[in-house]
Amino acid sequence: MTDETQLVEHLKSEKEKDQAFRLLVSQYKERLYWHIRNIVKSHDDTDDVLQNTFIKVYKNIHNFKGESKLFSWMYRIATNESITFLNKEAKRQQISNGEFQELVIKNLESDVYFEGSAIQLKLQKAIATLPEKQQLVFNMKYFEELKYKDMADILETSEGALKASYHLAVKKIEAYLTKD
Amino acid sequence: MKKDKLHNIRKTGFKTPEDYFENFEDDLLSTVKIKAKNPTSGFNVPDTYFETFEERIMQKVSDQKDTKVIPLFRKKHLFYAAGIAASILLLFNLSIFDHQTNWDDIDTETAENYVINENLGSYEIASLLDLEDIDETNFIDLNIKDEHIETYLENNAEIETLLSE
Repeated sequence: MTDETQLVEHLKSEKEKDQAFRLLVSQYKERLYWHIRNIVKSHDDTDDVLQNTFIKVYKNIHNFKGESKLFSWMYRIATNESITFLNKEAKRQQISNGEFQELVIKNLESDVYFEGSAIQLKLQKAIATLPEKQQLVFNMKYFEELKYKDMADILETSEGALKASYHLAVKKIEAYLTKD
Repeated sequence: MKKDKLHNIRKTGFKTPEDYFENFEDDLLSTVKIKAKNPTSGFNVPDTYFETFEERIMQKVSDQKDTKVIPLFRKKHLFYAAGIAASILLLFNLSIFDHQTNWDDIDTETAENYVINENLGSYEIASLLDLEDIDETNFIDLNIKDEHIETYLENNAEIETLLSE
């Protein structure tokens, strides 16, 4: 029995659930944090989304069928939670998703948890110009250095489509960074 | 078979996706170029954020477990409430409450007192009357005897007035 299947079994058992969950959190908190942070950008919002992600994992572990890896399943929840968060916030502020992204990037300039070098800000601005899927693929490949195979599992798409998306994204970003 | 001989198999059979090598160099070069300018995303986390995260999430999970949702209407309670409602309804249908007040039962004095004490306005009274009630004939007694008219005229009418009319 692999470590993962054993962990899932423990997560599903009433007796060992909490202990197994604590282990799961400690194993995945940083990876999932950075995955969410790259999407929602602000630390506080990331913290909210990360907590919601883990709570969802805790509540829905009995629905995890093991068709994909636990890692992919959790990344998928984190991705969905992040996108839902962005859409909800845009709706709450009664602005379009694009306008909300601009606002998020603008807020980075005064964010204490953003190092704030001009080139890093420019990279974030460049990412914000991409369509949602290309942003996801770029962040996952460029910053998180995930394998295409794992990304395909998380985003439930083909590796070929992801490679094409990354190709388009990286070209656009390169052009954006070197345009001035 | 001649074809199966090892020296006849020249290719591995492995394939790569179309444009794989073209894009591979291209994408790698672009990535390296961007990385050269941006080694990190620039995002930071507060100190001890990750150290305290497990505790916070475990607390949150246990808080959610403790606060059980109690349904507003439990089936058991609903049955009790339905039982009480049904018995009240039954009481109203029983003859003990079936005592309707009849206009004939009210004596004049009670009605008068009611009108005086309740401070009824003319509008309220008018709203109780329909057109038949306020017909002119209800207020005029047409059966006046001739002798009554004579007496009235003798006592009240003056000849000048009658003449002028």
